[in-house]
Amino acid sequence: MEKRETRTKDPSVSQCSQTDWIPFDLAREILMRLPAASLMRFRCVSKQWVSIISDPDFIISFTAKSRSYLLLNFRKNDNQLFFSLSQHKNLEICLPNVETYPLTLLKEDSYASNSQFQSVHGLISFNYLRHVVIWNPSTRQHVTFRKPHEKPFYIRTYLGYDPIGTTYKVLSMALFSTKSTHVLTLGDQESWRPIKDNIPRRSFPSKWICINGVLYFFVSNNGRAEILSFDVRTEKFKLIQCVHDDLEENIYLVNYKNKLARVISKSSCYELWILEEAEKDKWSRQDFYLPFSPHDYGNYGLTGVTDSGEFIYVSVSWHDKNIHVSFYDPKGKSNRIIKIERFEDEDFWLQDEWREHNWGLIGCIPNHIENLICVKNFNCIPSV
Amino acid sequence: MENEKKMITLKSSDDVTFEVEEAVVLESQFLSHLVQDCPAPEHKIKEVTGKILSKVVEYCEKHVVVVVDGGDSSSSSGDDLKKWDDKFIKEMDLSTVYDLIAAANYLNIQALLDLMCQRVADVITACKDHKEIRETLGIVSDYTAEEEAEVLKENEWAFD
Repeated sequence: MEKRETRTKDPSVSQCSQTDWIPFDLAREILMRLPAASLMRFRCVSKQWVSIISDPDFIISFTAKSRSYLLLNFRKNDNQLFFSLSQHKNLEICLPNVETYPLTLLKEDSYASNSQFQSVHGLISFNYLRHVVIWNPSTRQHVTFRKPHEKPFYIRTYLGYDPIGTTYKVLSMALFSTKSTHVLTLGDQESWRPIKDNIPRRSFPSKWICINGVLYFFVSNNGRAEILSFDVRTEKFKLIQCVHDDLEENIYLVNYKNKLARVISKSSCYELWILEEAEKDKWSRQDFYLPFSPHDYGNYGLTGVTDSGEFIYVSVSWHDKNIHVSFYDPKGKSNRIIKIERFEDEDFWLQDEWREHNWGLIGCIPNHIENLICVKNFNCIPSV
Repeated sequence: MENEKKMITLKSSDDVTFEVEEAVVLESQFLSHLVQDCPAPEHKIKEVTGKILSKVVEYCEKHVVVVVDGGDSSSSSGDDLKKWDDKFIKEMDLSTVYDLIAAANYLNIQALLDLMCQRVADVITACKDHKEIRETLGIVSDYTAEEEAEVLKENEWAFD
């Protein structure tokens, strides 16, 4: 979408004629500093470049250095559009680097729309009735796996990442039954494995998040609100009691400075309940009063929280053809607004005769990082 | 002056000598170990030419002054330093940048290595395609025409 600016030829660049490309380890240092899209674009420079970029150690270091991005996910029927913008605080005035990720969903399966999207260490999972799709936005590659159960309506899958073992796993849970809980490690020649699960639940968790190797789910157990946690490394479940267990509230699960937090939206303020110690069910509480009504700031209300603790509001102006993203820092009481403009896709802004638009914001994914991992190397036996 | 600044002489591979303050030498991890282990007045650096060593010395002298002033200087010194860095790299051709990367790596001067690598990364990012990169950086492709077409097809999206 963003047109690359016309480049003025740098005079010093042309002066270099037949210099030998520098040694392997230094080439690595240079490539580490390129954005993922450039690395993918320039895979065809030489085989040496591809071997550097594909090296697992390079991938780990690259991901560790990645900045955080906010992805805005719009959907129209089978098409998805992702806007990516840097969360970096110095970008207050500049135009963000916006990229689109068109993705056509599986034609042969229906979309199971329950789960909120998460970027789990750079990968995003999509939940279909019979399949799960793992997508890497940075490489634009995706891989599809069949779910481990013949009654697809009762299965939901969730992606997790174990930072110690540097391993991704997909957890599959069934409604009503704890006997059909399975795990798929993402890798070569892997299969769905049944795992021990003795925590009964009556509803699908629609709110979930993966933080520091633990998947957290917001669940209802006999009318009580609880947090079900799943340690991705040890594959053990645990129930965490919530201090405030009123199910009626509007609750979000967020990553607040690398801890799990529940944001409870009240009329005049947000209550932020931060999980301090999972073992002792210990939560701390902070209240944030907003200097404005959330609706004044975004037509979608609170859409997320960044890992540095900024609250995100998104506002789409279909008439003026632009999108505003507000990052509100409740501690410093400051607000910075990033405007996404010059997205000149006629179809996106089109309104029908009832003045309704076809594209809807369905997800706001904060704290996304760039990752070069090749998801095509993941497979599951038996295959799809 | 109560305490005279200790001076050290660095000699390049082609026997160009540079007399610098000890603090300047300490910017380099490699040289600071060398100076500590072997307290001679002159040190020969066989791997770096006079042309490149003069750039290294220029960079380190600029950066060491700012660190010393850091205590009482205004916050703009960081900005000034960045401006100086920008000018420093803008005036340099790419073959000098490569030599400086090798020298910064050998002498272990992380900030200089970062600056130079970022310079090459920026040049790469500004290229419109792989052919321009090869031409600019003088890289010889090791792909056959068929292989190249295949890789190009896989990553078509990135050229939007």
